[in-house]
Amino acid sequence: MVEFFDFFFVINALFIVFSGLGVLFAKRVMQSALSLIFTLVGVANVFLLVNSEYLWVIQVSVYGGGIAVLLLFAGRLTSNEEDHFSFDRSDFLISFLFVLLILANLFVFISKSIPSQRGNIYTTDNGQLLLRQFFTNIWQANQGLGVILPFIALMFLAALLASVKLAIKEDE
Amino acid sequence: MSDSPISSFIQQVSDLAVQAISSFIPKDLKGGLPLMLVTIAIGSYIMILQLLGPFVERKVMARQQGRKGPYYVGFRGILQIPADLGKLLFKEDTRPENADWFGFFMSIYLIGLTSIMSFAPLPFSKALVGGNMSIGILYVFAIFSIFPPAMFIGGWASNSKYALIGGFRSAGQLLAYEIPMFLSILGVIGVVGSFSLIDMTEYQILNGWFMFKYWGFGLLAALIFYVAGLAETERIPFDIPEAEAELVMGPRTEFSGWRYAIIMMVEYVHLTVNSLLFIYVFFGGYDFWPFGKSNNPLIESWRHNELVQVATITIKFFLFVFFATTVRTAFPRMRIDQLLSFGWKQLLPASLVAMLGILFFAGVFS
Repeated sequence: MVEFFDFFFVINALFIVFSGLGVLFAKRVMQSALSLIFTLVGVANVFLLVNSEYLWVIQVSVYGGGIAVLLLFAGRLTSNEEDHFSFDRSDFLISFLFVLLILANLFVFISKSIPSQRGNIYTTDNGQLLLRQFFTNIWQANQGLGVILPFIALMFLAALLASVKLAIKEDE
Repeated sequence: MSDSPISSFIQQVSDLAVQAISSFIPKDLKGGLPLMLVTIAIGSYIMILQLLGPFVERKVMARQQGRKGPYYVGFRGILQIPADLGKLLFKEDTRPENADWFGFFMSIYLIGLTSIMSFAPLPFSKALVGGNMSIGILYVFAIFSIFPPAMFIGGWASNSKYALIGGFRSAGQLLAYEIPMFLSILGVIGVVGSFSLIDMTEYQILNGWFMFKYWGFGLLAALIFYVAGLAETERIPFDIPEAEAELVMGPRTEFSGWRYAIIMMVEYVHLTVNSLLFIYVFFGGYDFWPFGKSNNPLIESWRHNELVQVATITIKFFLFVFFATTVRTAFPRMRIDQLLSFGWKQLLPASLVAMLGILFFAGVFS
């Protein structure tokens, strides 16, 4: 039978992934910002799974509320006209494949590094213990880190290039 | 007939249904299904209260203005609000041309969902509570903080200048008044040593209501909380975002039909939750005796009776709806610059003074 926390975790993980993709692929800045709010609230819900309610409150009120309003104000007050991101189909396909590749690697990496005994993730009452176990396993599964690191580096490089491109476009 | 194929099929289906329902309830949750049903009952009770809120408001406002108010639908107009709701639900669902569909849909879902989620930690008696969590009042504040960005997105997505300006005003106003509102209750939290609304009420049952204590600082904090709560609910004199003479209806301008019904529901849910929070923190919660522990055994037995507690909080709630309506009838609307400077320059320092005063006279520093 499906456990409640299993169910919640899977739904929440899917929610985070899809709203994260929404941030990347939204056509308008404000749509991206709304998706970002969803992502941040989804990440906050993970804290509930490890019994850290205070962290949930801080994450929701600071990031879901305060920072989101700041982003929205910045987004509306700094642009003269409506910002549209334009994708042609090939660009979209390449970036989608790239994101899929990174997600697949992350999945393999995380599935290796989470506590091996099934059920540990939600039977422990102590969030700290869970985190320590997680990082210990990351340390041990170092060949996983070797696989994932180049992709993370590539992702940051792509983000840097994209921001440079956007900055140049504004000058024109 | 117990072993007939039909009865065994029904048995199997009912077993499956029970399994499916129990899979949604955590195993370590004491009470399980009954607790879930109680939670649904409490939520429904608050929804009925907030449906009666606008009726009381319209009736009281009409009397204060020398009118009769709603009169013809049901006995003395009692069915006016359900009739309005029915009309809105069956109206055509329209969306302005060039409106952003994602923001237009999601903002309404976010606003409706978060307002209903804020009911969870509100107790109606010592036992009748959805979830007595350790974060208590912080949970309500965290949930409320989602509202400004959602309202802003709703205003932007409508593709109307009135809605956009209203969205800006709404977000600015809610941010400006959220901070003094939280600072004003920080002293009380420091004295009680808990965020739980039940703990706060039990403390007041033993020691007297916070509003009448600490040499006037309790009253100051209560006033700040009430004024900031009125601003959070965007009611007159703080209804700048929807100032109808300037902005038609502010961020709500382009919403119609069931979306407008949800927005109006949220407005009154905010009034309900803010009134209830004020009652729990400063006005004794579900207690009716403001002077602390009493020597009279009758008072002591009645104040610990669950039914009396539920009745007390219901009467107190309608009292606060009456106050809010009187304020709405009596005061004119402020300007946006007056509103923001009042929030940041007067309420914020005053709330800090109230917090320090409460902590000082409660002997927390000694």
